[in-house]
Amino acid sequence: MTGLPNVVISLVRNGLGLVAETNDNTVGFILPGVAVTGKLVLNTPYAIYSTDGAKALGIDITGTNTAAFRHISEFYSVAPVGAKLWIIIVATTTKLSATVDKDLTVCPAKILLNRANGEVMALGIAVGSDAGTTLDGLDTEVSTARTKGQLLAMEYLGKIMPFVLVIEGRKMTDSASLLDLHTQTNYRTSVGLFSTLSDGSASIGLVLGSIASIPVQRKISRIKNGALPISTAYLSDGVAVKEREDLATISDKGYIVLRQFPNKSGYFFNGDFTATSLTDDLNTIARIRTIDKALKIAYNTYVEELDDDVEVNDDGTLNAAVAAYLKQKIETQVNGSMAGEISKFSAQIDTTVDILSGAAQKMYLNITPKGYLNPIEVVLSFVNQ
Amino acid sequence: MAKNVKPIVETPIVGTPVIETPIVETPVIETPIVETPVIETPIVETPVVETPIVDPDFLDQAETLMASQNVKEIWRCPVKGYWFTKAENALDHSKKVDKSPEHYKL
Repeated sequence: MTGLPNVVISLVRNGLGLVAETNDNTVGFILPGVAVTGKLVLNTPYAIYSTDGAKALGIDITGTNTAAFRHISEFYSVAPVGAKLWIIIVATTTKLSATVDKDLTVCPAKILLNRANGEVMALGIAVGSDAGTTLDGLDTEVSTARTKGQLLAMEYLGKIMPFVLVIEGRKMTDSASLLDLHTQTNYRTSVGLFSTLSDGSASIGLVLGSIASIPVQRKISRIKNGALPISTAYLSDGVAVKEREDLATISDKGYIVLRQFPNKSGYFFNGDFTATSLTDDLNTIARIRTIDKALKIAYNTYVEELDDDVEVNDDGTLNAAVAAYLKQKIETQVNGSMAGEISKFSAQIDTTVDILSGAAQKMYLNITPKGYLNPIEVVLSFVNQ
Repeated sequence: MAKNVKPIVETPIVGTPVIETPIVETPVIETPIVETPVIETPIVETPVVETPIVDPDFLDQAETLMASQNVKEIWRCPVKGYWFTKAENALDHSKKVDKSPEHYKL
């Protein structure tokens, strides 16, 4: 006997099959500026939720941090007030590649990503200093940042902190010299060439703001998102978008630019390309965001099962009931968290693995993504009824 | 007195009989043309050693760029100073400035 007889009640805490929330819209932004005594320290991350948050840090439309304020205000011109934005201000002399060089002692991107602890799913980099040389039609630093940014992104993918890097495509010289990004293998990087100013900069805050305001599967170039809230647009060579005849060439090379439509006012994105082959499944930001969300859900789901003791068959393979449980668990999580963001999801548990021998239990997760209406071909004709 | 008139005696023209010699065609003996075989001497092309045009002042920068971009060759426009990692883009640009690009290799 263990004391007086009583009724023992245990609480079951997973009956509802609740799904974990993921941060699908939090972005980070590395910006140029100067420290503000008592308010802002360089190379230190801050989370803000509006332009007021930036002003509180000494980043405003006047003074020494006008460039940073411009990018932040462009972000919040698209993203709603309340959208979380991680920022880190770097010295105005910092080059693009130095913001994402993981081998440097002080790597602003790593500082920000670590502080955000996996929240950041897209990171933008804009600076106030150039290499002073031109490579493949852009400031040399753009290409170097793309290479180094991809390495950094792969490192953080391994840490289950995946992100896509949006690079400010500074100082374009001519469209013919631009490198075709579809010949590259930096699939976690994108380059934006458009700007609200004709000063050689690029307004990637608009890309980040769009990402922060739409679901993972949605393209920033979706026309139903609406026109961007800007009145003039240039590319980073200083030539206005409406005066150009080379937008198709630039778009075909995989750069993000702005475009207009006949009989429709305003500017729209041409796409959300990443610097990789057109045959790569992850050749758009939307696809990367989708797979990254599923990756985080899968990790969060199965990390709870790590080192759990489970029933096995005589040959060391996973018991069918346990396999069914693991399959149902991930399907519930993904279908619950990504409803409307994917077309279909299924999981397969490999029941041929002898886990008693120490082999890894394999699981295959298959996502059917949403499709996109692009291009649209309409056949129009008269008929004699 | 009447003059003596000598009668004109017409000598009959006696045609010399033409003896027609039959034409005997000499048979043409066709000599077969024996073609002399032409011995083709193989043209040995002297390999052209392409000396890349480089500016020594930019060698270090070229090496740095090639390392950072992970490429083994790079081009530079001597007029504008622009760098290219793709030969076709460098050549297109060279037509605009009417000057061949410098070519650097690792």
